[in-house]
Amino acid sequence: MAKRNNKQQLNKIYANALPVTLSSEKYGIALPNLFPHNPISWLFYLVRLVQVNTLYSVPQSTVELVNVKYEDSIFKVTDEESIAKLWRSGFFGKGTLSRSEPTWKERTINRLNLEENEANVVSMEEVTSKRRDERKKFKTERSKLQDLELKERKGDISADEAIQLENLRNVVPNLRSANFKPGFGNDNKDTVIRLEDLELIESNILIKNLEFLQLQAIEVFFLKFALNVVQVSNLTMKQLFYECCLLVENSPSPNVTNKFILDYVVYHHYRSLGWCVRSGVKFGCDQLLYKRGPPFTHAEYCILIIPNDGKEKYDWFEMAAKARVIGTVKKSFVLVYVDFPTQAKFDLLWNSEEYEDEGQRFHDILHSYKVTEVLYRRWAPSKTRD
Amino acid sequence: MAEERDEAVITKDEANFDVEDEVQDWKLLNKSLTSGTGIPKRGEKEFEPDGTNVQIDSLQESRNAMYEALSGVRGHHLKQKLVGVWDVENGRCIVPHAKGNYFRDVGVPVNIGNKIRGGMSLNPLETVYLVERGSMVIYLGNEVYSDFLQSNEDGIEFDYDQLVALDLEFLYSLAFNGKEYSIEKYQVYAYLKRLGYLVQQFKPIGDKDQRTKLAERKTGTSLVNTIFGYVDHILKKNRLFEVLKSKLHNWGILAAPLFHGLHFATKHYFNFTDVFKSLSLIQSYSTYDSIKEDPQPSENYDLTFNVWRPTPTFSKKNPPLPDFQVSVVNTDVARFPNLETIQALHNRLNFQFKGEEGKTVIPRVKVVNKKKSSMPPSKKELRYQRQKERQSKLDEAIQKRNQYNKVRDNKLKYGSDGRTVVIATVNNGVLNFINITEGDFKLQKNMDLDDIYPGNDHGIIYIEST
Repeated sequence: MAKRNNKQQLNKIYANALPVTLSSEKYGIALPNLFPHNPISWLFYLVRLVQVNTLYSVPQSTVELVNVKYEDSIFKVTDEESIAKLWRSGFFGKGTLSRSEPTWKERTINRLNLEENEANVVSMEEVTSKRRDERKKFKTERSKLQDLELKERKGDISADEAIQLENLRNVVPNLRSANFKPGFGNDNKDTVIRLEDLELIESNILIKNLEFLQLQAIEVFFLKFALNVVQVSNLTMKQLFYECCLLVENSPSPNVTNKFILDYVVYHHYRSLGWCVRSGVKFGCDQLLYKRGPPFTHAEYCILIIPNDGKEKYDWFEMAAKARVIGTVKKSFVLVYVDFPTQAKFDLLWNSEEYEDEGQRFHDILHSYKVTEVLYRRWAPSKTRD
Repeated sequence: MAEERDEAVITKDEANFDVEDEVQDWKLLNKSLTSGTGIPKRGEKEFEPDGTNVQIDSLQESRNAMYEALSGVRGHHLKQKLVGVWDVENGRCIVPHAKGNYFRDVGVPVNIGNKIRGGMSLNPLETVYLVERGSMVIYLGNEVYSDFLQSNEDGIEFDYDQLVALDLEFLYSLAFNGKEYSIEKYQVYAYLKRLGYLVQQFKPIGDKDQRTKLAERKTGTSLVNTIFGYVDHILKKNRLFEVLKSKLHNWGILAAPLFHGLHFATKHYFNFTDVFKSLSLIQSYSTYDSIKEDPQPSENYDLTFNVWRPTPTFSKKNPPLPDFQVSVVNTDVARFPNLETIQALHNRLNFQFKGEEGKTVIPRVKVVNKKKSSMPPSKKELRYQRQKERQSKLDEAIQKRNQYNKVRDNKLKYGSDGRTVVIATVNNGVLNFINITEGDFKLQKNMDLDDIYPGNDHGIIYIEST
């Protein structure tokens, strides 16, 4: 049952798929169902629609934009509330001092046993380190067992060792299946305060948060262009786009095949299909697709982005290497070829002065790109015969 | 659920496990030769020498077993001796009297003069395969033999001993010309044959290609769609509407258009599915799109083999749709293909569209091995059973949803009605097989999914919380 409670808790924390406040969430209202064959339901719907639009202001119109600082080619979010919002609604960004979710503050409070540490929560990083310890213990015991087994085979095993061997034979299999379960707090370990910790504490309260949330360029542009929930330093949307292009390639105006643009096209494609998209650098590919997000399930797909320019970008060895890595972590390998417009067409849209709204410009630019998915799977003929 | 999931765990899982990765255990081979109980299992790998006699003994035992296995006499009954003659002119092999179980997928029937009735003509790959596995003796044809074939005298048996018997080395140099019949193709051919597959050179099955068939499938657009399209067109193009719309935006009556900076600040949303729909922007390839464009493959790529799982009903004359279609490439020459080549290969496949009637289709019934096993059910089977039981107890709506999710996951992972080509890469004799499939994450107009939940945006993976 603990599992289910946990899931409910997760569902509650991560209720929003994107950092957008729904009217249903804010006001607890909903539109009635529409039945195409029932004109009364149409009327009812229409009345309700007018009602909603006149009585309630759209939630997003009053929400403050998240402040993203662009410094040293890095996109930073420092405000704690904003960090929580971006992480919890769609898993944007990465904590600079954590594995992914920014947990440095929590961990530090926990480590120093400070006053705020009431919930006594265990962070993901602590779970991992605990589990690694147990794994290490299992491995040392196993190697002891193997040594003794060898001795037994050689026939020079003492009586003492024989008993030890019997013991190990019983113990080791259990150790293997042992699995650290989170949920209970730190087991009263002694708090060690280091000298540099003193700068962080004042009367048993943590006064500094050294961690900030770092966003990928594609994430920032998505939050700006698609959702309009961030303000990046004082850059306009077009300036932001250009800065993002400059991060990969220095040119007076963006090239159609700029890596940032191709990445963004694919990122937007999957985000608009409801996937949670994160960087795939740990698996030698460009992006990872999660069904809901990292706390819920493993990523299922690894995306490799290839410009569809007719060139054969990779050889078979490079592809096999990627596919093997992806296969061993039980994910599926997807090649995404991106069609792009001509440079002339791109420049025309880029320089056009007809747009009263920048969103419309990028709508037109990005709409001239196209993605094609190809699935790469190894075939083992010895297994598919029957 | 909250426990950390270490994604980099390397497991020897079923899906990636390949028997080829194991070492041959000769002891088991001999046992099976004497008792005749099928293909032996492979043994465990031995690790570093541990200095025990046990290990040395077991190694020696294995070695002896290998020598014994290799020293066994190989031969065939004189009555079953299969003879082939290499026809130098045509670069093929003539088998005057085809006998044995080899010709279910091998060879083309030939009759020559009145000497050969019911003979077979083999291509170089087939020839080398039969000779190499010791099933056929081959001689080099010459004028004496062709004269014999053309002669009208009856009842004379040809004495093959007057021809030169070819050894493998000689045959290899005759058979492989590097292009149509290369050693790479032979290696792939022989490997698949040895595994028991039925293999033939690629050829189109049926008289229509995919393009023609797809065109025939398309029915005209309905009248309603045309009218809607027209109205939509007028609304989009008309300047007056544009002006009116922007005025309404400005007065705050109508929401700002999609991707306008103010869109989310001026439109009420009640669920995230609608938010995702509103973000739809990037054009994407939909299954079968490339058929209309006629892409061309690069010179290194072409379809090489049609491959079938072994089936007792196979007919060489009228073969069913292949289970696998293989393109062989040499990694020294070819790089991973570009999209155009991949699409060109997909378009050239023998492929049957959904619901297409055809006499060549034999529905594949998965024959489950119902042999009474004395072994207790495996963990996997148990899990499957339990899952099935649990499923059947669930609410009908939930069962339906689970079914939908399962079908959709399969479509994402293995392609939505998409086409698959197998590419066999050969690197100096080492083979690797890869499935390349048409993907479609947007799942537009998917009939199977429509059957479960009609008209959904199937590509939107997000599940609304209720």
